Amino acid sequence: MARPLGLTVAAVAALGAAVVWAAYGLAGVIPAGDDVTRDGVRQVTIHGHAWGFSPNVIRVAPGETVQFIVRSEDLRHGFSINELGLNLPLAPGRDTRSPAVKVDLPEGIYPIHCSVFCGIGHPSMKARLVVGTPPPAPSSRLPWIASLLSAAAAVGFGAWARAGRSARG
Amino acid sequence: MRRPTGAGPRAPGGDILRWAPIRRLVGLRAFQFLVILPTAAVVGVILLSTAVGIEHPSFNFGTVFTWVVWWGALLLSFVVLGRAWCLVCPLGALGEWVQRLSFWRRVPYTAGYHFRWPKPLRNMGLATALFIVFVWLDNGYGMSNSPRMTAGLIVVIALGAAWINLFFERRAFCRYVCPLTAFIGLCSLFSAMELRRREAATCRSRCATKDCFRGNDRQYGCPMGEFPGGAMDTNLHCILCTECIKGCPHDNIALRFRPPGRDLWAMRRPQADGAVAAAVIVGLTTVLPLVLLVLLPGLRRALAGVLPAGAPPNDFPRLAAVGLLFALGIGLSLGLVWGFSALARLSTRQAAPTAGALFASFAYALIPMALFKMMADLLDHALRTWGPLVDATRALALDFPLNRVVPGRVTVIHLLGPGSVYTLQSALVLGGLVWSLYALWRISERLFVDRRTALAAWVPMAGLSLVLTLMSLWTLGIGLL
Repeated sequence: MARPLGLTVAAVAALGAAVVWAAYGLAGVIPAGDDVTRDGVRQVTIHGHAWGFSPNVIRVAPGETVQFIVRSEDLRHGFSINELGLNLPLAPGRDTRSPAVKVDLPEGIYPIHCSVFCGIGHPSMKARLVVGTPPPAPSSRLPWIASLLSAAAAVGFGAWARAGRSARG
Repeated sequence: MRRPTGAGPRAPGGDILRWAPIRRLVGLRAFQFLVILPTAAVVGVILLSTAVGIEHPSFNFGTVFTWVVWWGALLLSFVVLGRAWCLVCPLGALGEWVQRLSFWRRVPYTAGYHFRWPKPLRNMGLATALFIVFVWLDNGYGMSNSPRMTAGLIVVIALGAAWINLFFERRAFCRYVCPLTAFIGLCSLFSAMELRRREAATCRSRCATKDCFRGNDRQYGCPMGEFPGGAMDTNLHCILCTECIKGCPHDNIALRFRPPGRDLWAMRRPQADGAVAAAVIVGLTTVLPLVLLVLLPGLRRALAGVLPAGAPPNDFPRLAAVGLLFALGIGLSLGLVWGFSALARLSTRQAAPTAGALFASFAYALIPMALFKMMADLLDHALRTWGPLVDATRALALDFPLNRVVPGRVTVIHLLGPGSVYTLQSALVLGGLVWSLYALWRISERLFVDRRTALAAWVPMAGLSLVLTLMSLWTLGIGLL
């Protein structure tokens, strides 16, 4: 059983590493384009597509006034920042402008997400509004913790089965 | 060496048909019609709202109710009630009413031709293919946020059910064609409730008429073509229509609770078509989201140089890219399940069962991972964007039932932060993993007498479950990185 077990561990390790690599690749910071400031309002242009936003990190200073100009490149999407009370419906191929909003939020990282159920990748269609220069969010460790827990569950179950306990009771 | 096949010990749990009020209620000839009526009323409002109502998906009651409330309730219903949706589905019932020319009475005449369903199509192949098309329409054209496409889907399913049931016997549409039948049937294997015969001996030795299958002059036989008094040992095709309960002359049908997921490991004859459908559903929920996220932008750009561009959503390079990646994601999922099944056979050092036989048994055990991943997806949406439910209901109330008025700004309700949502999602995904590991172990124990051999076959499949879980966890966690 040693060889198939080794093959299984190797396959799981290789595929698992590929998954983590792909996730970090997708989460890589896409820099903001050339924003324009008019009458004290910074206009931030964002593109939405299935299933992501570009740029995916928008940095603003506390107290800055911002207007978001969002364009969907494919389907109907939404552009929502709950903390700013924004929820813009995005029609395919058209620009949607938010009202000018003053970012009266404490320094921190706030989620931007699609608010219209847009398909299989909808839960991953997110971006971040970074206000000021906050420390890294502790929630970024959660996927690692969940992954370790799932590996522990599989190994623990195997140990339980090996110890001779029958699931049939 | 194989263990003798069999469903194992009977499930514990009470038979709710022993409770007289329930027994009397389901014994009514009009029971199914009565429970369909409220659903038919809601589907009628949804159809009006999606067909003529506003196109803004967050204010259209039909789209919000269908793709958030109904879809979520459907997923939850699998866990407790199995195919309960099919019991109350007015679309499948429409086909039955057309065929029988009766809403509930047993009538001696019929409008149907009652042809037998073609033999090559008596499997889950067509339903699985249509389910893939259903998901592709959502990802290619954004069906779930288009009111008109949602209306079109409802009309096509209703007309399809009526047309097919007019020509073919029983509920041929619901069994072989409905785009959701394979998905609903397989997820219902996880259910904590089952409808089965009470005593096998009664059916074998005392029953000569087989009324549960054939029907009689007072009741119809099973509309899905199942034989509850005989071979039916899973929830796969049981739509809980209660026809067999009413028809059994020996009162030998039970509706009872049992450990969730029991069908996954206890089914006597796992079929290859169901296993392929299970691997496809697992692929659509775990492998495909990652494949699309990683490859879609690049492939779309590459195809834009070859295919003519169109206005979104009729953007041909994108539609072709989504189609190609669907093929890749589903192929990858089937390949992974097959590959790890082959590794399991290698681990056992036995010629039998073959890799194909292991695939047919083990693929069903992966269903809990798919089901819980879908719940995690929907949980994320519901907790982040609770507001549209309120908005859509308010919009409908302002212009009932046509839903043509926008009530104002959309509501933004923040229920939980991203870290808390992800923690709940991870708990669901891990729950699915543990259930799948358990189901895989029970199947291994059934297939192999020797514990070491059973463990050797289980280890590679547990490895596959872990890989699929990692795909779900990291796809859901991209927004946190």
